[in-house]
Amino acid sequence: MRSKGVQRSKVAVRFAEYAVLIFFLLFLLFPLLIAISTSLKSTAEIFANPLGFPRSFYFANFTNVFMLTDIEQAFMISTILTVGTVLGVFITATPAAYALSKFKFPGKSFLITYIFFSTTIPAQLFILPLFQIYSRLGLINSLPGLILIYIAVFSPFAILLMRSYFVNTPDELLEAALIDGATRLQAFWRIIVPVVRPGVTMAMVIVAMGSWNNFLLPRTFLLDINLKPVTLILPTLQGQWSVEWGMLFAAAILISLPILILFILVHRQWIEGLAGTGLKG
Amino acid sequence: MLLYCFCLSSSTLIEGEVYMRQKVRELISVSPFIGLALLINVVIIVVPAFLTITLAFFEWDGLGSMRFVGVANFRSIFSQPIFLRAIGNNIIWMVIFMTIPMAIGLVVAELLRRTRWLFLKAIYFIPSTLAIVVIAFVWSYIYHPIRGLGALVGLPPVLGLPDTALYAIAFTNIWAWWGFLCAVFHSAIQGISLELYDAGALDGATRWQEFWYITLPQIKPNIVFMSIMTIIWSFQVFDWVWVTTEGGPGGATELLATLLFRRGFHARILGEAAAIGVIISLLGILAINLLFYLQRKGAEV
Repeated sequence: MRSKGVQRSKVAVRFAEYAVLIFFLLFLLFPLLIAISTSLKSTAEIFANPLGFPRSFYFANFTNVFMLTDIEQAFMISTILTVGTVLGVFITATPAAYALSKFKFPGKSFLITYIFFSTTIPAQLFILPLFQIYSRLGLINSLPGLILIYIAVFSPFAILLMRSYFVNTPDELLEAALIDGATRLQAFWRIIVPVVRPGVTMAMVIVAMGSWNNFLLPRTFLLDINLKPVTLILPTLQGQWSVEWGMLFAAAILISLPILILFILVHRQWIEGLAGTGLKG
Repeated sequence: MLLYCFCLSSSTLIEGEVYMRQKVRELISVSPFIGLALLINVVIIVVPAFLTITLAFFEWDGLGSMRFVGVANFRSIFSQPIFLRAIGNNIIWMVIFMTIPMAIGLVVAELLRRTRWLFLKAIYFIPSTLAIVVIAFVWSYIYHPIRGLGALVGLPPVLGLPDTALYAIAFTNIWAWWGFLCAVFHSAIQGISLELYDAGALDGATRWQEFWYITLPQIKPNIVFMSIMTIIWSFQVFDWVWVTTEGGPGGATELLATLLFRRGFHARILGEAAAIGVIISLLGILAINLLFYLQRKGAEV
């Protein structure tokens, strides 16, 4: 009797656990479904049926975004910014993270503390003078100029994150590579980086998301109306097409797709990488 | 005796020199690894940050000449009710994000461990991949009094009311954020040795006890790290508010960062804006130290 009761309560707990997970899944999907369904409605239908499922799919919203707005150019600008930033952070921050996890040198603990604190520096603490410096150097409205800021802003977090992976790699890895006569930096790129790829990938994906989705920095440093990345074009469109909710949702979905696709591409490696290597995040 | 002293001093001198040379060699060999990252950081962040700290003691409109005013900027902003309101809002924001998304993230991560529905981890992470402008736009439609939930369940225009605007924005941020925490915590949980849970099961641990006595202590470093980041970010929040209410209505959602932006780039009172920037940084540093202090105290008990 008693064991049956225990069994039943166990089943109830199990059921409750799945119920919680499904509840949060629905909570998460609800706004996304609204976005997708609204993007497929004509303006007339949105007024008649704002939250319901679309009665017929109205794909014209998506074609209209391309025909009526500058979204292609915004895509181009955001792509340049993101690719430039990821490359820059990869080249500069990856070896720095490794040095800060494995090498012994004077000032190391100070540097780690400093990088930690530099993630606490709000962009607002340096953009005021940086804006003045950039305007005097003619770097306002310059994409390479903005990329440089992105690299500086995203590097500290990337370094901390990658360092937490590097700490767990065996010390002998690099020593073994050095025997072949390579320099430490060459050995690092050839031997260490492939081993810690999951950690590096995760850091780079986060950097890509950060640069594609950043708002404050382009809002401050790109003032030319012809130089709007995707995050600046959406508020502009909202101002221009305020009643065209369907088209605005189509634009919102389109500008979200590249990072979403990137995430879908790496998510398996990312999840398995975190679990399989036993490296603690 | 004298000879002994001489020997001693010369040997320490040589040792010192060797030691120094060793240190210099270490620095040279490490510089290709960290040099470039450090240079970019110093040029873009450190130097302007120090300029901001300096600027906080000056009066400047960005064009004319600068005038040293001592602590007048700080005295001025602390006397403004809007500034105190902004600090209060930042603290409310911090309390919300230290509790609600943390709890959801931890509980859901633990449930993922038990149910093995790993595919959910990736789905829960999706909002973290979206731009804040996109999320704010979607929720502005959901909150819309005529189009969205206003039409469906009679929800008042929460973004337009001073009493609810901040919480309405925070809610959208929670929606976007807890999945990130869940992914981080679950990845950490996957690193926990299964033997611990097996041992717990042998001792007849309940699910709650497994969570409380095995999972939580094992991923404590990750929880502490995310807590620190949460505190830091809480004092820097900008986008969420700027793209939805710009600090309104009537300053109800004003945060330190939005106030700084208004002072610095709209009103062009750069000294006051710089002072607010300094305060944001100090609050972050203070909060981190408090957390470390509490943790040390907790470890001793």
